Amino acid sequence: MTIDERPPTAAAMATGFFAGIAALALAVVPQAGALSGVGLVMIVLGTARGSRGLVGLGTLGQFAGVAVAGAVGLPVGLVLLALVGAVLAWDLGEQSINVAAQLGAEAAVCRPIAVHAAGSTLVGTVSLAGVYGVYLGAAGGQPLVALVALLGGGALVLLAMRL
Amino acid sequence: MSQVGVSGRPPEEADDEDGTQIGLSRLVGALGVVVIGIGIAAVAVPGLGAGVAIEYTAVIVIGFVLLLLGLVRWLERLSSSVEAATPPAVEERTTVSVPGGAFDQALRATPGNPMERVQRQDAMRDRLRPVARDVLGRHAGRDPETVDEQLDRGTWTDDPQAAALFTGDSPGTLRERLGSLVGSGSDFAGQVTRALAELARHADSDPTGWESDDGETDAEPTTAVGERATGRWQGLTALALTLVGLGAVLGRPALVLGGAVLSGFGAVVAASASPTADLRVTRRIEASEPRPGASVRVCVDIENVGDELAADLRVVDGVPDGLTVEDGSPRHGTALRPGASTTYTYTVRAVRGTHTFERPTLLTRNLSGTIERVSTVETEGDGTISYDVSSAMEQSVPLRKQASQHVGRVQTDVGGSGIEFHSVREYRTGDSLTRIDWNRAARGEGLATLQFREERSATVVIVIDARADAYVAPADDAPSALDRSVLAAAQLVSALLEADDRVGLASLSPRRCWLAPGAGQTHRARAHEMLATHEAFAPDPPSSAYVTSIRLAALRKRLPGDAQLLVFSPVSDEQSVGLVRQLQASGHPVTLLSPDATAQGTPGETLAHFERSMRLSRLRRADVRVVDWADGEPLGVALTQAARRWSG
Repeated sequence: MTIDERPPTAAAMATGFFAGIAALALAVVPQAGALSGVGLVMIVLGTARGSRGLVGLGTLGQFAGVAVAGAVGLPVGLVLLALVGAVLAWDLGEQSINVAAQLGAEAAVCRPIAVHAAGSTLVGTVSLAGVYGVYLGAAGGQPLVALVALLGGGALVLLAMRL
Repeated sequence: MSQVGVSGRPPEEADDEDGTQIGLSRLVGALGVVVIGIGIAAVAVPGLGAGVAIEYTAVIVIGFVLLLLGLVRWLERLSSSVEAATPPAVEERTTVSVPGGAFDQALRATPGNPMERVQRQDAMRDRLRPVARDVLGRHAGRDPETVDEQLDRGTWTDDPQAAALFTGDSPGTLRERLGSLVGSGSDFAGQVTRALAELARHADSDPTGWESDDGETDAEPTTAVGERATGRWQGLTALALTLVGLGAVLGRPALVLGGAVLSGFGAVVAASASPTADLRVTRRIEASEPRPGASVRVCVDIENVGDELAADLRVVDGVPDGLTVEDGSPRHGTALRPGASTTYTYTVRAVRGTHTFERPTLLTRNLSGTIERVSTVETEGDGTISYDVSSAMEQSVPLRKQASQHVGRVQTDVGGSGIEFHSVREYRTGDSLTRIDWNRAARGEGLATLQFREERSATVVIVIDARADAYVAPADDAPSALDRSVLAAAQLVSALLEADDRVGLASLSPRRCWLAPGAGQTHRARAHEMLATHEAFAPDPPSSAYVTSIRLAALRKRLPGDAQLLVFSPVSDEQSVGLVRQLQASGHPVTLLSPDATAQGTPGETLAHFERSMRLSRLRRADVRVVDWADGEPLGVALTQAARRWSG
């Protein structure tokens, strides 16, 4: 008897919800919308089947959509929303897959997935709200040195994270 | 990303794959925070940065550098993977094997070198040939010489692939044959499968359900206790650096801010602490002394007795090896606030024996899932299930005509006082008047005495094959041959004692068990006690081999001269045939009760099935009475059918 390693349908649907937010936010830009739409399908399928690779590819598609939308000048709010949606979709999909792989579909697996999703959503929301707030409060007319310092410093912090 | 060595790094980082990188990262991180501080100061205090003249090209240069760094991180991400522990597969019963499973595995396996492959293929062919001869001889009614010739020429079947197995050449072109020499040998596996399917068709069984590609072998469970990083957020900085870099190069604030949002995630992830879980696990077993084969409900209660949220708890209960999970799952995932508790239940089943639960495996993660900790937890409450085998049923056993001098119910071939007519002999003085044949006397033919079959009691020793090879079952969740033997033996002990026979008990196992023949209620209780608890019949197989020359000689010395033997054995290997024949040859008539533990779901299982029926017919030819007891058939039915065959 081997365990069924496919995550529950509810988890795939919740993953689809977050990926759907990303796809909707990017829908104004056709290329970005298409990329993230394909990503959405792959993420949901990958989660339902328990395939990390498929979820990863789908997430890449969504991120590519975000990059395209950002490059052609979609409003900041929508880009950030799509980005957070994509991150949460990946996070929830991966969590569903690893819980199901360890416990199997027959066991109760929903609580670890739900609590994890709640935690990540909180982090995503706070991060989004903070960054967007700073953006609204301090947009335009700032000295260039501020930009350079923020960029350089932020990059160094990112490099230090080793994630 | 320069590999600058930093001396005097803290000892707790020594286990990192590259400790110097971590030390450097901290320096870089601190520098980054300082530079960000300068940036924020320039934003907050107008005019602070206005005098500093840097061309915007610097921003673009920084953007490209970031893209480059991001690329490096993407490459790192590609070479890493998300780690997760694999909990033990507690649902599987590891104490019992399916006959033929090893053959299937050998068929699927890819051998290391061509030499090894040729040897293995020869061994398989040698094993298959006698089976093919037997099946074709018995079921297709061909005589041995014809069969041999047909096998050599490949004319025994219409299937060219199946026929090629014994003719020695494969049906393909030279190129295909060279290919199979350097290839994985799956060509040969195909021939074996087709040949066995063809034989199964001859023996009137249906081989269509064979799964052909069940080749996946599960990864070894990695449940080493301890804490390890899962690396599931690997790639976050790669993404952030790429977005920020793109934003800087293209002059799009949205992308730069996107990188900032990702940094928010990163900060929380990097700051998350090790998972803590202070739990109390209580196991409750409903009916800890069930009847044989009954299902048992197991309730596991998990309570968070610590004072922190346990965000991600995964519990895998330590189900004993000999139990199969029938309903529900011994695994449970939950999240518990301090003081909260949860309960889950599942159902297990075994046929008999005493089974002790192991400690459950606990996998905990922190909220962001970056660190996974594997541990085992102490449980409170119940931990053992003991099946009670002493529930015996009425069963009459057709015994062989070797009996003791005591009066009993075995009808012997000896004439005397009894019920069934045996013969007539001349009157001798002292013969009872009631046994004189008065009809004969009236005809004037003199006095004659009627003789009846004497009914005597038998001395029966029940011998149970409990070698490692007897721990076989037709399916993973079916009762094993030994389970069925022991339960049947418990019934037979009751039935035989009821019929005034004397019953003893012995094991064919490196773990010796012996109960001298006896009678009476106490003896029956003792026999049942031994069947239920003796280590020779434990649910897990013995680790050492059965050495016939030592063990069997010791058993034969103990057997009373007038004893007949009831041997329980699945006859799943050659040794069992030798054992039964030696017992029979030592002057004790043997009745073999053979629980059939073979299946026909795969080529290997079918081969094992054929081999067993060959062994049984060899034993029948050696004057052993054989009861072939199919899986799921009541013992009474098998015995009645066999008795009818013997008398007819």
